[in-house]
Amino acid sequence: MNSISNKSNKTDNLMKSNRKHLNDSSAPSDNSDCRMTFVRYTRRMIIAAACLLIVVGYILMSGPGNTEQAFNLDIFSTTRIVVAPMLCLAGYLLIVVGILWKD
Amino acid sequence: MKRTTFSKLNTCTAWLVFAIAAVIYCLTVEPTASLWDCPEFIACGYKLEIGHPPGAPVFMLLSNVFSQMAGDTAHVALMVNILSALLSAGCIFFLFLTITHLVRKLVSPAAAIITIPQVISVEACGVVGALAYTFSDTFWFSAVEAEVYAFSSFLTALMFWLILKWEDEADTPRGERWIILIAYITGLSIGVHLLCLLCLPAMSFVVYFRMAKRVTRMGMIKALVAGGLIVGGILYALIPGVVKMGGWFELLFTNTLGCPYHTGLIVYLILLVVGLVIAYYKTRRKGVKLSLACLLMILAGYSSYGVIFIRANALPMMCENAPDNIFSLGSYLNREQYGYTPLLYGPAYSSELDFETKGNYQVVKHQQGKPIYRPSADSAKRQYEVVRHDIQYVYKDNMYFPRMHSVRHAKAYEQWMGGVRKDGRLPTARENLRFFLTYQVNFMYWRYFLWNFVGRQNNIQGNGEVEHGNWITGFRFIDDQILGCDTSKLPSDLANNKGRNVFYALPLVLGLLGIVWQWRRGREGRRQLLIVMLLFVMTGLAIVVYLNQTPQQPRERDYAYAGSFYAFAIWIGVGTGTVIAMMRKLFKGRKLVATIAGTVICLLVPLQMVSQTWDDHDRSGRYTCRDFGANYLESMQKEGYPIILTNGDNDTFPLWYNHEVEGVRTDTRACNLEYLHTDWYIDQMKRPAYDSPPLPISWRHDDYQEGRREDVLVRPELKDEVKTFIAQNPEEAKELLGDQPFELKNIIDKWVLNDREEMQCIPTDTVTISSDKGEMVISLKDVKRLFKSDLMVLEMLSKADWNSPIYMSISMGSSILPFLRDHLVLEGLAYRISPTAEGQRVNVDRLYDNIMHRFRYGGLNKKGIYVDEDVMRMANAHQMVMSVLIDSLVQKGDMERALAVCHKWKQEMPQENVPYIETALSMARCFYLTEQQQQADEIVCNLLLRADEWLSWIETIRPSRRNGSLHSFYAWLQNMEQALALAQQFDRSEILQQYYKQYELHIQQIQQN
Repeated sequence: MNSISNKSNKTDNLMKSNRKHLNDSSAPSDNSDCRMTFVRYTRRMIIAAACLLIVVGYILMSGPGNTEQAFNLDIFSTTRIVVAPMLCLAGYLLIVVGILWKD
Repeated sequence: MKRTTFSKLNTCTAWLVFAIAAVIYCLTVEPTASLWDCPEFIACGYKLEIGHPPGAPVFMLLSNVFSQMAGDTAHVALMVNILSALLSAGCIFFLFLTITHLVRKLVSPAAAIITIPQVISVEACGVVGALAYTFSDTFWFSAVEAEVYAFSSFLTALMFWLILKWEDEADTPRGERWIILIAYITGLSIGVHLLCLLCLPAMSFVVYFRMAKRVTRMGMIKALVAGGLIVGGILYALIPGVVKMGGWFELLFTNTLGCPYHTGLIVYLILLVVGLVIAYYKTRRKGVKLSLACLLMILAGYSSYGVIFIRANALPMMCENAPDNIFSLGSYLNREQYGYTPLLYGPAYSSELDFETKGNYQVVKHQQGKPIYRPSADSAKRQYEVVRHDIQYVYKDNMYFPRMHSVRHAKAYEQWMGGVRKDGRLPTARENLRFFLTYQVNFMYWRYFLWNFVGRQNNIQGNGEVEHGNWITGFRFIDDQILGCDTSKLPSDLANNKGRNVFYALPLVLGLLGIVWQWRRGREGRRQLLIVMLLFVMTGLAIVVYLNQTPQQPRERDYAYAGSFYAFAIWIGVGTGTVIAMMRKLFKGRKLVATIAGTVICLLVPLQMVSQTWDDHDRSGRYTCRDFGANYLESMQKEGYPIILTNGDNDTFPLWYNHEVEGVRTDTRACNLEYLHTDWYIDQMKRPAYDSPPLPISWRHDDYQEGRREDVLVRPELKDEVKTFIAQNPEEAKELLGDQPFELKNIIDKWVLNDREEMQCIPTDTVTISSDKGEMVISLKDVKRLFKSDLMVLEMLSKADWNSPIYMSISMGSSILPFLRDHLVLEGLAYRISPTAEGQRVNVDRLYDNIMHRFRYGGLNKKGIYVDEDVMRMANAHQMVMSVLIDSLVQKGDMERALAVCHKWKQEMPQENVPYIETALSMARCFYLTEQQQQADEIVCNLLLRADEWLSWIETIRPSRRNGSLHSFYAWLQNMEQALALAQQFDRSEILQQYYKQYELHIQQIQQN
């Protein structure tokens, strides 16, 4: 618990110093460090979200299949062949966004 | 002009070129599915089903999303084709950017300011190169249909451009990003087509030149090896390796620990990803971190195969190889269905198998390879079992770099080579090399290259003969020499062929000028030359070596080499720079004028190209694939849930498309004989599909599992033994062999399905199928063995009890199911197997109804429609059936209906679009019999005129090259003879006067030589 509040204090201090340094251009490294961290954090989040989208898409795509006894119309349900592939594709494209995320 | 302004202008021009390409491709796109694999891809994308290996999951996902934009099922195919068109336009976009990037470095390397003439020069290079590729034959062909090649060209162009982007930003922290993105696109491209991997070696050179402090020859070799290792690593280690390791986990979790199927796989994937991510965060070294990031990204792209895996588990109607478990997925990915071609060392076609004695038998020597696992067929057990081992046959004699390797093509090899002198069993090294150079390199690569940049003779597939598929320049004196004939006497069929495109070698010259210019522009130019040359070779000649193609391919394979034509288009763009430089020398001092002059001259090249290639790439208004596929299905009766047996791509995939996408005749089933010998396909046939019930196959999976009953011998000599056995022990015989021992049902149940191997044969050469419709006798005389697909057909016949009619498509050659040829009734584009038919009969009423009312003809009567060779062949098949119908009606005396068919023929397939062949003589005969002399004369004269043209032209071919055209010569001679016979029959003296002399002259000619 202590360590977490310490960390949040640190972040607060960093952000405060960031605001100070926005006007002071002589200390750019702190500025860009913080933004780089933020960027890397966002980038990881985007890629993680993309992976989650892909996994959810695959889960929605699965389900029971055709058997010798009966033709299972569910294998062509909207969820499985419309929504799920869209989620998967969105995930795969989001990874590109994540890789290229600018600061 | 400042660098930033130039950037913006460059991007705008790139989008302009994209728009031009996109508009042209969307205008010329096929409005429905195209022939060959396209209907399969469209159906797989639309409903997420599984197509032929290695599948293309990323393409499936993207085409699925695009197909949702269609308003109704009729437009699904159009949307997927438009996807291809847009991806191709995207490829052109990146080609433009690539060319301008390279040329800018040559023209204005480091300067921050770039002059106006230089700007025009650079942009002109980009536009000319990009448009030349836009209008080139091979690329345009793949751009307007639903195939993976447009997508793979797009990804190749994207990857190549990305490495150039990286080159600009290599020193910045953002620079790494491009490398990681390239790794991701590489991973995605595994789910499109492996062709994209081939640009990696060229890219490794870009990296080397940028990062090396000093460029040395040793360094370049190392860079080349590194590039090759990456490609090889992905192809042979990563792709199969990931799956193999999954297999180990599956065996561990399911077989050893008893968990449900796929548990091991999920655990494996989690461990793999988590392990790599942890390693990525723990490591400090930059190089390792980058490598791990790249590996993760490749795997992320490769994960798209999850689509294939998950959908295969749904067991959809199209589920090739059923890759629903990790082991089947492995063989699916490795394309094991297509067999194995030796590369560096292996057997030639004439190599003999080595035998060894095992007990009393001589057995083929073989090495037992890895075990093949499959989930147990017994659904009660939850285990992976070894179904067989991978077998590698050992040959007595192998050779290095065997180029003539396929036993099935032995005759084809010898035909191409004009006879082969074998030292012992193997072809000599010299002959091997000659085949490699003349066939694989020259005929199957350089010919395609020259089609794109010099000229193409026509759109008919060639096999070396003078009249089909060669390259030409457009200059008569050159073409006469190349082809060895008089090209001014070409028959109108060939002269007017839309596929005849001549560019007078202008694009080739421009490209060569580009190579020269790069060579002479100092170090940067030579490096660029090396990089583009590597791309050109890897996507061209390297593929030729890898594929080790056999002769008599079913279709032309130029689409595989589009990457090397892309590289050459880069050189065409650079060549524009050369022309501008030459203009500058000419216009000494007036740079702007010279630049504009050079630009205009070079722009004429792509403009001339499109004037030639537009007519044979404009597929608008053509619905033939969809309609002809539907015609196969409509040939079948409406009752009884009929089944149609088909046997190739073009008589199966359009049917699948009609079933899956447009829902046509979902009460029927198409059964492809080429797959019917595999257990996964028989499984599919035993499942219901839409309204079609399971096929009447009663075998269990164990009975037809891979490796069992692949073929059974027909042993007529056992007939007498069986008869004596029945005579001597009637009770025992009844129990063992059934009460009718030669009834098909009993032969299958008691003999073929017998557990004892020596009983797994056919003990007679005649089998009967008894039913309330009578007794059908099937003669197996001259049939030595029945393959599993034949057995399945017989099984269906025996169990269907004539309730489910079984049809055979007319496209099957007479060597397929020869024992059924005497029991067929023609009802449309298919024969119905009939218990009562003797010989081949025609059901006139059904055939009439189909041709007149149920068939569609795909817009073949539209003026100017593009009819390529395959569509022509299918149209001719319709005409053949029509001519049979006309003859049957005439024989019956039903002239009214016969005339109706003739008019339907002329209305739906006018001869301007589908020229007459000898089948049209049936129509002519009908017209003569109904006193319509003029119409009949028109047909007869048309055939005689064209035959005369053909024969006269073939006679101008040099004797040394005439052999290949003898087939055409005899075909047209026969047409002429038949037409003249018809004219004589109806006393058409004018026609006889005009043409009989020519006919005799031609006969004389052929007798002389």
